[in-house]
Amino acid sequence: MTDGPARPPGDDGDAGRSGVPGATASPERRRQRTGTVRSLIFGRLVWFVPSLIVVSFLVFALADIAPGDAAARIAGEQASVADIERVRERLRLDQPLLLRYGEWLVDAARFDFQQSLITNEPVSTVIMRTLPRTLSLAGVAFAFSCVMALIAGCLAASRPDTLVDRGVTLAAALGVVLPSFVVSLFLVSQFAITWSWFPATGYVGLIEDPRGWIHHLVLPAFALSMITAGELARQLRGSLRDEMSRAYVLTAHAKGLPRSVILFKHTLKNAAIPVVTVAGVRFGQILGGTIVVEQIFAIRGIGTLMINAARGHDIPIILGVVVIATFLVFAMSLLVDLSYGYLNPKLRR
Amino acid sequence: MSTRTWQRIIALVGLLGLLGAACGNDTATGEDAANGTTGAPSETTGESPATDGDIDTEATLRAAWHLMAVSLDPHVERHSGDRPFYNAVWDRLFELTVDGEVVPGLAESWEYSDDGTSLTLTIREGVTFHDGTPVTSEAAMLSIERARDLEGSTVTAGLDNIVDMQAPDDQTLELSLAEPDATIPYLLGLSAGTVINPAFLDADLTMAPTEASSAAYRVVEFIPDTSFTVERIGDHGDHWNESSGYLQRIEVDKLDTVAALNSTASGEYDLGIAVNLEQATQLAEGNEQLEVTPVPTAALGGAIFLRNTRSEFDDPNVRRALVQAIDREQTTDIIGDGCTYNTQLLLPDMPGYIEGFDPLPYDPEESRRLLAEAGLEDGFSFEMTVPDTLVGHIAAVQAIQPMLAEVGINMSISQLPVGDSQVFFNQGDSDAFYTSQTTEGDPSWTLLYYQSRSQLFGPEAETFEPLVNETLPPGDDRAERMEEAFRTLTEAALVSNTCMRTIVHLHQANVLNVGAGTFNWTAGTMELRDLAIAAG
Repeated sequence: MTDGPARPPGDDGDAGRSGVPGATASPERRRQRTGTVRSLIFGRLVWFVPSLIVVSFLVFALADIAPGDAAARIAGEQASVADIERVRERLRLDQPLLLRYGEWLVDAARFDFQQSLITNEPVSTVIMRTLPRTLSLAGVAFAFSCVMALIAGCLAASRPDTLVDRGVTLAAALGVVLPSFVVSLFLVSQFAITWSWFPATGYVGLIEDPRGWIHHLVLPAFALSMITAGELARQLRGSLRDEMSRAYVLTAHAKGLPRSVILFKHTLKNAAIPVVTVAGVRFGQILGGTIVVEQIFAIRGIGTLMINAARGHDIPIILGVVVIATFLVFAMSLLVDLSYGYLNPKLRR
Repeated sequence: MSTRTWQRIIALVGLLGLLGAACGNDTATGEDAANGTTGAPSETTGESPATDGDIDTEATLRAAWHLMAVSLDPHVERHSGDRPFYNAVWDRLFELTVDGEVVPGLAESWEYSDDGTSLTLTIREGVTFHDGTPVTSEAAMLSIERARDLEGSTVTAGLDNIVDMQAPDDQTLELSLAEPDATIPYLLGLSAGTVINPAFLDADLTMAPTEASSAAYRVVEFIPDTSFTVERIGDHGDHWNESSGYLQRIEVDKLDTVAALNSTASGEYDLGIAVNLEQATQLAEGNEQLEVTPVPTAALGGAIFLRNTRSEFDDPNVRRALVQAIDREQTTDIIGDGCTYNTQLLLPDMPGYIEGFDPLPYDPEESRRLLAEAGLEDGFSFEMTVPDTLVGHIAAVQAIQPMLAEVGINMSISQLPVGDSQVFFNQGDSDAFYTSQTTEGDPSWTLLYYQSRSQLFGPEAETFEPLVNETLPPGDDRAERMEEAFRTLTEAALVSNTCMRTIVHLHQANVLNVGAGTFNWTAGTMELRDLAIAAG
């Protein structure tokens, strides 16, 4: 009989992570693993390019046929129809859609995402200025979501059918149903205006002022994290409860292992796979949610940029944002896939 | 120390960091702006600017606003919301007061010939661009030429009446006009009158290079459509206009209107500019550090524009029937937010405004009678386009819809993006258009604005156009001529006004000159450089 509990399904006693001192994976096994990871990354990249072309073309076509006219905006409010036509010709907006998309694609392949129709700034400059803000907001919101979900999910699962469990379930449901703009406005009203604990708007760079950075991000990130936190907490609670009903957990209890050890060392890892999958999907939704939250907190990131570009029919900016968003979603999806290997060693083979 | 202990320490530090962030007392959060009595709207229009003794001339003002220029080249202005930014970094030949009165700028005086076809400007002596080049009449002439001829210029309107320009000496500029036109000084008080250093006429002026200008401020940072920061050149009083340039630094960020008010209330900004009067008043309640200054403006109201491509709207009686079916006082109540009803397109006290004039009051019975007279006893249907981002406008058309239905007019509503809805209407793709009405500082310009949308007008076009043109020549009876033109415009129901708005300024109590001097939209432009912060 061994000292530990029966091995959980995901733990096959792989040498690299068995916990046995001195045990390491063989060079052959390591090579196999590296090859698997490489092929996974390569496979994703192979899909990334055609997906990007399809997504960018669809967005280009939708933006083009949607009501709106960049030429009218640029020509000014006193412009005549003839003035607007002149601007349209100058910007080549009178050219066929396929030709304009083809030109954009050729430029994009050289990492030249053209210039904003409205401000004339290079799209890459505008995106590099705004992206750190959105990544900060989305990153902190995602971290908040994970931490809140972890605490709430573990609490609820370890005390099933108690007041704590019901409270967590209710709070998670509220988090899911409350729109982020409602939460945002409430947070601004109470924590910024009434109590002056946090600023109502704005953003400070992380390197410039780390304390100011988190100070400005707490409210918007919290508002943005609510839905994801609620979703993940519910998912984790359910997943943990399933896991806790398994035989190896009963064995662990029978052996007298403390509940916290069983929860954090054994069941949490096995329960995490479906949660990580949901978290990966939710990251994309957090990115989408920044559009509303950035507007309320005046963060002026990618979300705000997208709104202004859509209003102004600034197609190069819209496409630039689409490229970045597609890349981020692919990157997150790749990370989720890679994390499966860590959580379930069987999948590494 | 074990890994677990380290993990606990890191978690604790992270938690303390968050708490520290929450309890921090950054000046930006404005926690000193917390207690006190109600911040009721204050009286504003026409207030005199604060005097030098009251002012901190080293202060920085931070403003939040939903408008921002995309370029600081004054000749590619997109709309009047760009002007405050241009005005801070460029000087013009004329300036405009809160009442729309033209006052000297770089041109210290002007004189019309007896027949009104020649205008002579005297350029201020001793003013230089920031590279030391003197500001001369030739620089002014070349700048006007640039405004007229630059590819993509958006400020050409009205300049075509200037058929010749001569600069006989450094201080004299003679403009020959095709037709007598009293609005030229007003026009040169807007972006078209910006004077640019001749050495920079062919340069990219997007960032307003300091040497190209003679203004009180220089650009420190300008991110198109995002933020604008300027710093005063030299000390207060160094600029030719000694009463401007009180602030050492002005920072303006583009923020959504709700965010602009919230961030001002929380103390991050000194001034938030918006249109949400009720929200601003609510935020200022109980906070003696905050004040609300609503400034009446005709430029943000709402009006109905009708097209004569609809056969029904070609009949003046149908247009009048439509106007008389609308209870505009009730409409303004529904819209709220400081919206008031005015029968005319001008603000009271403006030349051309006719006291007590309301030829088409709310009268559904009369509306039905007029429709019957036009052969439309059974009513008719039409589509109203409205910009989709302007909540007040959408509320207005939704309020109007059942009122029109009462008399048998079935109005459907189509919401479109702001710029597109205007284009749709101009191109004849929509029957009617509810949008912001535009009132310029010079009422003739308001008339020209409506006349330029010639497709608006039915049979009255032949009558209206000469009336508008008659308002242009200078003369003592100009106000009467303008009244006549506005009377015709109102009676013909070509454009029906439903709401006059105020621009709301929520500001810290130490911000001075809000709504005073030239910091006011009434004239069609405003000057950030007139704002100030109280000493102490």
